[in-house]
Amino acid sequence: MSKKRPGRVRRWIPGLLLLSPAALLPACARVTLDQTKPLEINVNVRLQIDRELDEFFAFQDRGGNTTTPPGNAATQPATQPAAAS
Amino acid sequence: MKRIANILILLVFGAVVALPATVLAQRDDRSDKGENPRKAELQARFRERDGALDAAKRDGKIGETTEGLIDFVRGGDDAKLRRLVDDENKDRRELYEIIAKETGATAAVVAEQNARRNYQRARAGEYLKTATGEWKQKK
Repeated sequence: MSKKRPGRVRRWIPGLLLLSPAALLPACARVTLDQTKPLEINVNVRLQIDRELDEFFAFQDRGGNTTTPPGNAATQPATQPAAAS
Repeated sequence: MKRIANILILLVFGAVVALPATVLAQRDDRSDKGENPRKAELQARFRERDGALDAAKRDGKIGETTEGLIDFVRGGDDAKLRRLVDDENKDRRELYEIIAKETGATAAVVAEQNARRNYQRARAGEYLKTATGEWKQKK
């Protein structure tokens, strides 16, 4: 009885080897999804960009007029946000 | 019993093969989000030019544009200032590309966000260029 076990397990090895590529598939699928997903510009991305810019230009201390409302036409870029490509 | 043992072996084998693949995938994600060393170099260059460009802004010689760049309001014949402006704009374009890659946006969106930021941070009296190319002084 106990002598038969190694033979049975050995019979599984080809099957396991065949299954191993299937086990790798989830990781590949994840990378592919990230790369092919259409670019979605949303509020979170804009906040992230703002944070990156603030961190990068943290050395600048202009003491500018930060109380100016964003809707002020004279101080706002007239272009609208670019559409997501 | 043997069937259970075989299933267990199969599960363990699957986990052993799948785990390294998952770890590798996560490592790729992390390297994508990693800090770009070029940003530190660019930051040093921005910092170096900051004082001179700030003074030129206060003098009304240059101002911010809607493309997230700087341009001459007047005084374009000043060779030293022109070189500073050209270098600044070149580095800004590169920075926008880097941040775009990091955030998954486009460089145009990053540039526009920086334009908004610069317009808000500008002091009264500084010149800002509208989308129609007209210069307006911030009140």
